[in-house]
Amino acid sequence: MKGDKPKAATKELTLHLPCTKEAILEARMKLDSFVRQNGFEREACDITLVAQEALKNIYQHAHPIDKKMHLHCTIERDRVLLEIWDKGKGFNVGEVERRKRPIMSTHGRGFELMQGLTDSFEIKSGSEGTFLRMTLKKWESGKRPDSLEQCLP
Amino acid sequence: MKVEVEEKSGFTVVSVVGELDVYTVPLFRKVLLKLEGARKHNLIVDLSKLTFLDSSGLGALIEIYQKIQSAQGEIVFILDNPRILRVFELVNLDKVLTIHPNLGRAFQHVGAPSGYVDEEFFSDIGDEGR
Ligand SMILES: Nc1ncnc2c1ncn2[C@@H]1O[C@H](COP(=O)(O)OP(=O)(O)O)[C@@H](O)[C@H]1O
Ligand SMILES: Nc1ncnc2c1ncn2[C@@H]1O[C@H](COP(=O)(O)OP(=O)(O)O)[C@@H](O)[C@H]1O
Ligand SMILES: [Mg+2]
Ligand SMILES: [Mg+2]
Repeated sequence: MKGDKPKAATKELTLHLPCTKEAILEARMKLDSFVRQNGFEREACDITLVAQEALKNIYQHAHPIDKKMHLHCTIERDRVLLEIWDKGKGFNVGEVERRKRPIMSTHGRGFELMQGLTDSFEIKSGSEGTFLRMTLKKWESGKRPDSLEQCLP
Repeated sequence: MKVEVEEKSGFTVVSVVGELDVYTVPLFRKVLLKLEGARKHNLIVDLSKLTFLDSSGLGALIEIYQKIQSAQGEIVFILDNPRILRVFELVNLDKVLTIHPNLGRAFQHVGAPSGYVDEEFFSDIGDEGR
């Protein structure tokens, strides 16, 4: 029968933005209200930080041929899937991963943050560009003090 | 974002209100350069009103820490927001920097009474950016 079994509602946000500094902030604000509206208030701070790091990397390093930054966010029942990609020059992931950054290095902390704040983190990069696929789980309730409202967009 | 500067018991308290990230780091640097020029080498960096910190903001904090170290000064951070502490932890900075949850504890740490001295010197640094 058609339509008698309601599908688990999946909500999506898709953004194709110009590769500019201003667009990073715009994307962050849109993503923030999107995930907050969909029950990820407490996680919004981490989600937007992860997105900002990924978008900053496109702006700073990718030089995409379409001059765009692409973001796709999917709300699932208990997690958020975040895909961010570019059609830029790509880079050698293994080489960057092996690079040991001293604690006092003022650069090169973006991936450390993205990896640390997400529950899964995949990256593909080559001459066609770079594609990141990350998930962040919904926190279990009651484990944290409610000081999280401090983190507003 | 706003940077507030005041003198307290021989320390310069630099408070960052709002977001410290790729957008606001230039303003933060400007304030710090001014402090450097004025030979203010004992700093309390108050991050208790910080709402967002990204890797660019972290970079700026590391930079100022290193400058103070090489000037033989003292630098202490105030931070209690768990989300932002987590950012410090992820890059192991919590193990290197001196971090206290509030101003009282920070002053206890540096062994100064938390007296108050007003200063006009930084009055021209106000709201800028966001
Ligand atoms: N989208 C991208 N396109 C091309 N190169 C990238 C991209 N993202 C990251 N990189 C490369 O990976 C390196 C590490 O990135 P990151 O950890 O964010 O540190 P940082 O941006 O401070 O250099 C960058 O310096 C850059 O060489
Ligand atoms: N239920 C929760 N309540 C509050 N914060 C949480 C919760 N689950 C995870 N977190 C935050 O997200 C971070 C990453 O969580 P998780 O992926 O479970 O651990 P890790 O990746 O460190 O093994 C935690 O260190 C914590 O700061
Ligand atoms: Mg980066
Ligand atoms: Mg994890």
